[in-house]
Amino acid sequence: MSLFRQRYEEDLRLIGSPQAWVALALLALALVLAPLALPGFLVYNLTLFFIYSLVAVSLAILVGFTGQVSLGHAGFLAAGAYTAGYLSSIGWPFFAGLAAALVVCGLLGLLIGIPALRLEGPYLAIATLGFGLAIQQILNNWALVGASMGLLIDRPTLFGHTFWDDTSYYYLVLGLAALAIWMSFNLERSHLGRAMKAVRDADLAAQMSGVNLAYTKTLAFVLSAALTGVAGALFGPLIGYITPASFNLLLSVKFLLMVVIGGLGFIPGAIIGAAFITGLELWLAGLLAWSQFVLGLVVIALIMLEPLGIYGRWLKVRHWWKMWPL
Amino acid sequence: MDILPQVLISGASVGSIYALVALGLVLLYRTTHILNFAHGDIGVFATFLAFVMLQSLGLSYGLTLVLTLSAALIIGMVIYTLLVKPAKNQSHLGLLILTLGLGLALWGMNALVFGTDNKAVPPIIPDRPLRLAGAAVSQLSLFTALFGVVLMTVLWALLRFTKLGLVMRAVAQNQEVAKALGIPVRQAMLATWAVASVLAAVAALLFAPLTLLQPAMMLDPLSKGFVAAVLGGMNSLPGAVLGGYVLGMTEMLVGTYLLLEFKASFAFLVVLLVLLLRPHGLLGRAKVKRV
Repeated sequence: MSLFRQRYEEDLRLIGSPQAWVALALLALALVLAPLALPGFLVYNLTLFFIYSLVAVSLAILVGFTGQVSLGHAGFLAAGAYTAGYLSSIGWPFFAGLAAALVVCGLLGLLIGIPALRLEGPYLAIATLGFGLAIQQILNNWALVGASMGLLIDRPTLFGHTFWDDTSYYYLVLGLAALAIWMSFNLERSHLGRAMKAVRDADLAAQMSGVNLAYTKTLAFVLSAALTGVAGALFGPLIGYITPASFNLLLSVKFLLMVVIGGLGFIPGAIIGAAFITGLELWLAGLLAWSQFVLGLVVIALIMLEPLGIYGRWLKVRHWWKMWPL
Repeated sequence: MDILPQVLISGASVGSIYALVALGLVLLYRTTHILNFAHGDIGVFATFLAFVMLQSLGLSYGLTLVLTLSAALIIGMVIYTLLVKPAKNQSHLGLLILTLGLGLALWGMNALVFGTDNKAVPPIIPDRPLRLAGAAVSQLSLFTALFGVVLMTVLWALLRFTKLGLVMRAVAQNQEVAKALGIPVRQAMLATWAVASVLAAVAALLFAPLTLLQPAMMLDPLSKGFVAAVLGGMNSLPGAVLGGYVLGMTEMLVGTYLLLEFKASFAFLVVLLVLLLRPHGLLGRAKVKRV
C-alpha cells in the first residue's frame, strides 16, 4: 500500500493495512483470554472500563463530532441504569430492559437536544449540567425506585444462564461493547458522521451544503444519550447496587475528561481516555483526594502541552514515522 | 405567626451568596470567555486558609479577612500567569476543560492538605435569632445578605468609576478594538482574574458559617451560581445579581410553601425553562454572528 491514499474507498475503509488486521486480531485475542489469566478484581475493573468506554464513545459522538458540550452524561447513565434495573426487578427479560433503557434515554436526549439547538457554549454546558443534577434529585425523591436508598439489581439471566460470576458477565459486556463501538466507527464514516463533523467545524457552511443543522444536532444528542443508556443498563448489574449519589456531577466531569484526555474527536481516543481514568482510579483506589489531584494535574498538563490528547499525539508520531526522513 | 419575612431574609441571604458566585463567574466570562469551574475550589482554598489563621494561629477577624483576600488576589494572578496566559491559543472548550482540571487538582489538594472532615467556621456575629416585626430572623442571614449588597456596590463602583474598571469594561466589550486602542489587555485580564478570585473567596467565606467547611462545600453554591449567571445572561453583571436573588428567593419560597424535596432540583427546571424562552438569559444580549 502506498503512503498516500489515492482512492475514496481507501479513505472509507475501517481497517487499512495488514498490520492493522494483525493488531486487531491480537487485541481481540488478548481481550478474550484476559479473564483466564487475570485476578477477579481486574476482570471486574476491565468490565467497568468497557462500560465507561461506551459512555466516552457516546460523548465523542456528541462533543467530539458535533461540538456540543455535555456536562450531564451521568444523568443519562443513571436513567439507563434505573430503567433497566427497575424493569428487571418487575420481571422483564434482560434484553427488553436494555432496549427500554435505550429508548428512554433516547427520548431524554431528544428532550434535551431540542432546546439545546438554541443554546451554545456556556449556556449549553450549564443546561446539561442542570439536567444531570435534576435527574439525580428526581431519583433521590422517587419512592418507586427506592429514593435515596437506591436499587438492588441482579445480574441478568439469558437462555437459562445467570451471569453471577464476573467472568461470564465480562464476556457479555465485551460482546455488546464491541458491537456498539463498531457501530460508532460506522457512524463516523457514514454521511451522518461527516455531517456532524461539518456542523462542528463550520455550521453555516454545512448548512449551505445541504446539511440539516437541527436534525443533525438533535440526532447526535439522541444517539449519544441512547448509547449512554445502554451503558447504564450494563452498569447497574455490574455494580449490583445503585444509588442516586453515585451519578453525581463528578462522574459527568470525568466522562468529559475521558474524551478530552484521549483525544477530542477520535473514537479510539475516547476509549484510551476511559482506560486512563479507570486505570488511574484503580491505581489510587481508596485515595480519592490523590486520584482527583493527579487527574486534575494530568488534565492541566495535557491541555497546555497536547490539546489533541493522547491519541492525537500518537497520530502525530505515526505520521512523522511514516514520512521520515521528510 | 407569619414566617414570610423569615423566609425572605434567608432567601436573600442564600441569594446574595449565589449572586456573589455568579458575579465572579460573569466578570471572568465576559472579559476572558472562560467558564470557570475552579471558582468554587479557589474559594474553598481561601476559606481553609482563613480557618487555619483563625483557629491555629489565633489571628483576629479583621487581619484574617485582609490576609485571606490578599491571598485570593495572588492566587487569581498566579492562575492567570501560569495557566491561562500560556494556553491562550485554546478553544473555549479547551479553556473550560482547563478550569475543570484546575478545579479537580485544587479539590484534591484541599482534601490532602486540610483533610476531608467537616470543620465548623465560627461566624463573625453570633447566630442568635432577632425579633423583627413578629418574626424570628437569623442575624447571620441578615448579615450575609447585607454584606453581599455592600460588596456588590463596591464592585459596581470599581467598574464604574475607576480607570481599572474602565479598562476591564473595554476589554469585555471588544478585545480586538481595545487592543488596537492601546488598552493593556493582558493586565486587564490579570486584574479580572484577581477580582474574580477575591469574589470567590468572599462568597465561600460568607457561606462557610452557614454550613460546614469541607473540600466539596462550594459544589452546590457553585452550580447554583452557574444557574444564576445563566438566568441573568452570561455577559450581564446586573443579570448575575438579579439571577442570584431570584434564584435564592424562589428556592426558599418553593421549599417552604410547595415541596421541600424539590427545592434543589427546582433551580435546574427554572433555568431550562428560561433558556427555552430566552436562550441568552434574562438580561443577556445575543451575540450577532457576522459571516
